[in-house]
Amino acid sequence: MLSRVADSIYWMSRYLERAANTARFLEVSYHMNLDDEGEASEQWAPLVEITGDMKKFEARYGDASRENVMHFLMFNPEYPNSVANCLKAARLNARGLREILPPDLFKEINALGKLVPEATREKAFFHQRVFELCRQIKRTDMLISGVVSETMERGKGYYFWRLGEYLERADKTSRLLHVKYFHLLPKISDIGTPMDDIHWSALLLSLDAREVYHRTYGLITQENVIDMIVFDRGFPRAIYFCMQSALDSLHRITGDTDDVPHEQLKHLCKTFSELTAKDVIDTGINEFVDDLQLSLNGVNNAIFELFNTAPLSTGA
Amino acid sequence: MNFDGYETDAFFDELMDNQGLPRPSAQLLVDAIENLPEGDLLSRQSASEQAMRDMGVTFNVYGSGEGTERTIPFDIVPRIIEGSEWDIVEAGLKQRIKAVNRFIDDIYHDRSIIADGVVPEWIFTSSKGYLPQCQGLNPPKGVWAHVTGTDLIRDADGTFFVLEDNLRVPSGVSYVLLNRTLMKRNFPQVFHRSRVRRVVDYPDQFMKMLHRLAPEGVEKPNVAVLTPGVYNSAYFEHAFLAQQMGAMLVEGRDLVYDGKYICARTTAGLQRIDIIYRRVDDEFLDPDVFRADSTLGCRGMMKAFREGTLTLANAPGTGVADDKVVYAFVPDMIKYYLGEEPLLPNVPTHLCYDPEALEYTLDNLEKLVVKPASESGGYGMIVGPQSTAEERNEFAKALRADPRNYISQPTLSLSRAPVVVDDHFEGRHLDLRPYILHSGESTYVLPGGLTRVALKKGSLVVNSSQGGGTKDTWVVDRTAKPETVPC
Repeated sequence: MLSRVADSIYWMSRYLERAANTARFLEVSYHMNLDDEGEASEQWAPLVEITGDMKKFEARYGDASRENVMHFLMFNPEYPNSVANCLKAARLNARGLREILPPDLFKEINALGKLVPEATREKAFFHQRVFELCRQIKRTDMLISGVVSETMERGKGYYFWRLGEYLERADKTSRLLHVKYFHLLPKISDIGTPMDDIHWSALLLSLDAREVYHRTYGLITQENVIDMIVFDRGFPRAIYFCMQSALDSLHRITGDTDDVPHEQLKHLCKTFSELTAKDVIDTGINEFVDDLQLSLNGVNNAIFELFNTAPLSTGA
Repeated sequence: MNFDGYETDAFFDELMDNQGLPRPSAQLLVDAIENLPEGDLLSRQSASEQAMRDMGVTFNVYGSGEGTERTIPFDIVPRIIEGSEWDIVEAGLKQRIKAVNRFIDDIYHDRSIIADGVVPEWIFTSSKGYLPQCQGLNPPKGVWAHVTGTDLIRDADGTFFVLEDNLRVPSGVSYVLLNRTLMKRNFPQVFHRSRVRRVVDYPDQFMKMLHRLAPEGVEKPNVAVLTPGVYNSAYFEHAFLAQQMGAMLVEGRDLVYDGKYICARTTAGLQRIDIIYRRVDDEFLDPDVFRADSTLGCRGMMKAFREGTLTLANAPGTGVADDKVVYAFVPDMIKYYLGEEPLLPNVPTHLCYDPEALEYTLDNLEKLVVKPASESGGYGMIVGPQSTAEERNEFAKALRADPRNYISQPTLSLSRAPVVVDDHFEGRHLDLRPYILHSGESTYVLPGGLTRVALKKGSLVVNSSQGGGTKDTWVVDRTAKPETVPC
């Protein structure tokens, strides 16, 4: 497989996963804030905090109101990680890959790429349109994942896709945990209150994990929620599951080797298998998430290095 | 919708005879369309256009701003050609491509056709498509033009003429295949009963043709389609063909010359490429040999081609026969190389390099079509009867300044076929581009080809860049009047 093509599939998959996750966060935040009974002002700033781009946001918008945060994360054409830009980038990659994509897969990504720009042309999209849009993005992303699963041959292309998807998802789930941390910041006294439970519950909801959580653990506790979304081995959005799946995908591409990304991922998985939710709480959610994101960035860079080692074309 | 009140005027109509009655080959189709419930044809038409957009079958329009994606308008009424008529066209095209390939090979070697005084020397020395870098090269089996799209037109009595040969990187075949898919969906029963010759195996024929031209000693060649990239106007087609043929789609930046072979940069290191179907123009193929600023090709490509480790289709240098001046001599080439009479006539052509022809052309600008010899896409031409005096004056200046670069032809009464206009049918002019695959030992002609139709009323220019659309083309073998079938 061409290095360019592999890179392009990997990123297409990451962009889609990124867009769908942002859509998930937005939808759930909206619902959570509706339940806030007006006691405190709505909390939208954490969604920006976790992107690490708070400064950019403040310079452009000022106040972290619902409309501003929504616009920034969903529509902003200058913010590279806005949903609109991620979907646009995925669509562009798909156009460059269409000779190897199953036709139905191309069709869905192509249509999804046009969805958000079309929505911005509609007036009065808040409250109804935007949240419907979030649902639509999430659903289409799941549909795409299904089409990939049903139509792509289990060759390199498929595993580069999964590799991108799982690494991105591991990163995004960790950021979700980060949201919770930022929510706690202003009112540390909220811990253990009904509002605290609502936050954890919302977090589970955005991962489609609430029902399975209650079935498995019963009532909400901080420790159990962390156990589920960080360390669970069977839940497809849990960080450990994602990293293990990324490692499997990498393994399918290269076979069992000791190259850099393999080693890094193996090491991460091993570390995770020895940790517990209590360790995370003791370390501090903030520190834990920061460390993890650094490690995941390292893996991402190592993957690029590994598959692009051939000399640059002298014609280019 | 029905064809009541449909006028063929004084033109040859592809579906109707001059009494306005369906030709035998079109009877089934016309009956089926007329029996559709009101509004049904229109909704099929718009569903087909939506299907094209969903599939991303779009092209970029040059010079109209970034991100301008359009679909080529598709007309749902197919054009129909009788099998017996087509057989003659097919034989004529095979004859033509053989002679043209012999000519190109001759030009880059002994030039016997010039020594024998059949064509004048200046036609290649002054041709923009002649590449001195290709002198003496020997592509596999002596074949230079593997893929050709030859434009045909029919005049007022239905005679086929060759309008031009596209020997460089002809585009449009993906539309033939897609239009066919849409039509089979829309008119399955009529299609089946009409016994339409199939086009679906074109990608297989293409791949087989390429395999026959593999470098010596290569059993299972690696085939790549070379595209300028996603922003090229024909990108969709490049990707589509690669996908359908099972070839790798590469850009210049994916390729590297390792000193002997052209290789692709893959996740598992360098991989040798044996055959490149290139959709990049000659001058961009290799910065060492042609344009030094090109990033679309790869350094070393010509070396690999010269040394026979790489097959290029089409070979560089075919443009020498793609010139509209050289075109005028193709009937002579057929006689010279094959000892045969041409089966398909050329449109009568005046070469403006000849002072008499130039005078004639200048005096009759309002009646003639004048074209630059080495442009494509309908750019830089003038259609006399549809021009203003001011346009003709401007054009005359350009013509006088560079007569070698122009040819003129009579404005033919191009044939027409019905297209859907709002809620009824109107006749529009069209041409036909069949695709020919040639590997030396065998020649395959795609039955039918791309029908391009000038959607603007009265217009004779069918190019997609100038407001043209497409139709499916049916070569049918059933002409006896059968019972009516639903669509």
